[in-house]
Amino acid sequence: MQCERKLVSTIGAFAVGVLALAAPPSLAQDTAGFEQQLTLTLNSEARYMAYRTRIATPSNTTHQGYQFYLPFGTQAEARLGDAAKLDFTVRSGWVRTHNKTTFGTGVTQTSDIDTWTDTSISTTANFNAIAGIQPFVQLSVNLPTGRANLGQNSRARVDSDTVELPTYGEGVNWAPTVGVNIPISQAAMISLGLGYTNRGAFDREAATVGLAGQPQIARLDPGNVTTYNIGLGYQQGPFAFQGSAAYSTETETTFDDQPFYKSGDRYMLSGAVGYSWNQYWASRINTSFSHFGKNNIRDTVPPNLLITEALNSNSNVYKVNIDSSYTEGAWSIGPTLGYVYRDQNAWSPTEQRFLPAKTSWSLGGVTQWNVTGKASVNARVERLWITEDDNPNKIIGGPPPIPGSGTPEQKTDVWVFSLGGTIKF
Amino acid sequence: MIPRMTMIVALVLALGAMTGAALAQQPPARCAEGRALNGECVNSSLAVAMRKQTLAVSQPKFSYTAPARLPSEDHGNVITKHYHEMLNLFVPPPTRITTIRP
Repeated sequence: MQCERKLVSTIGAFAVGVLALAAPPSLAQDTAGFEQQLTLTLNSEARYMAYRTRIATPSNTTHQGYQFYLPFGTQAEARLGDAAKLDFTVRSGWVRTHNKTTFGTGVTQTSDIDTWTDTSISTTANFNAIAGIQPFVQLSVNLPTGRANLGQNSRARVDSDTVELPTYGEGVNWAPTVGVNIPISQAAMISLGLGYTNRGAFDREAATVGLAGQPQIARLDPGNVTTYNIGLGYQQGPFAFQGSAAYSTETETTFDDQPFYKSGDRYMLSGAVGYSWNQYWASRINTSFSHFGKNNIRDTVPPNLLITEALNSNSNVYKVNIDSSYTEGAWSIGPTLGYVYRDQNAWSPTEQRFLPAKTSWSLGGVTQWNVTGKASVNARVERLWITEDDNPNKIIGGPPPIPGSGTPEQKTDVWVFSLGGTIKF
Repeated sequence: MIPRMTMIVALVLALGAMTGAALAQQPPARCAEGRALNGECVNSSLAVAMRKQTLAVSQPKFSYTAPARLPSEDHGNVITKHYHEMLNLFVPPPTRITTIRP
């Protein structure tokens, strides 16, 4: 009997051992690496943009200055088995801008600003459990840690085509997004997305000044934006394609709690094609097109309702970026070429005119060094040439043209330097 | 006694057979980004790129100074700033717009 019990316990132990060995190997793999894996990424770039804008005769005005921008962010990614993944991203930054305007009369005016930017916090959940339908949701929040009211330094707000940050802060934004990837096969995928951006009110300097010459404060409440989009992606062998089409509609923007304007609906198309020529060389082309419908603007006639503007005061924007890279081991290096065209229908209310067409060319190079599998550094140099066409004097009611009713050509040169790094844990 | 031993041996043999069958069967391939409609593993880099594109395009006006991405991802961004908004709302001190009546 004792022998029999010993035999049973031995066989039992053997069976348990065999069952343990027979358990799906994936379970052990999940626990060891695939499941509950946490990745932490730290990333930052120091960017320096130096610009000079010359406005031709008779204005002879020059804007000259620089912007130093230091964005930094961290991202934690938690993989919850095969079925889900969570991302958590925090981003902020610091910026300093200096602008010196020299008027044709010789009078100069300088403006400086150094401040933290706003801070965004976003979290994304991806669900991959269902074959062919992989939904994701994101909630992003913009916290107003930047500076929206520049007081007397409003000239530190530089053209958005010249520097990266034309503004330094805004109100609280709440931005939920829902989307889904629909992978048809390993190579082809369709995506759908719906985003809503609730943009909170904020105070900033106004155009008017007080009795002592101090800038007044304006209360702006930007419109909230709803965007629908569809995307298509394909990646097979050395070829890759990605495209999207988006439609946005916006609610009314208020100025000191009064109706100000309502942006026209936006249509945007983008596409990117990449090709790996061989193990060393790869090229990529990015293009985008953006069009807005007519805005609704405030009627000057009481009761000052919003009415559709007679002419579209939004620009169409065409953008193309081409880059190639040569990779050998941990190094990669390559040239970049960029082109932006903004057609001639952007209305400037401060100058009471439509702005002429603007063209921007850029040429530069970028390099990256993967120091280890977990750390990399990159550097970029670019030169931009921006031209805003002249706007001839106007003929109103018959010749001759009215002197001073037009604007001369503006030419801007920009140097861009950046140095960045990424570390993963 | 003998029938009991027989049962034990039979149980061991059955367990052994089950074990052999389990070992012979390959575990399903792991898919970091799930499976496509046709059952293939999704291309991970394509899935990540499409998700990032959708999230970026869905929020064209979220935070002009701190967009919801890492700084290294700024260079691939396809969204152009709304120039009219830059001119009228964010860059110069805003003024009342003069109406051009339809």
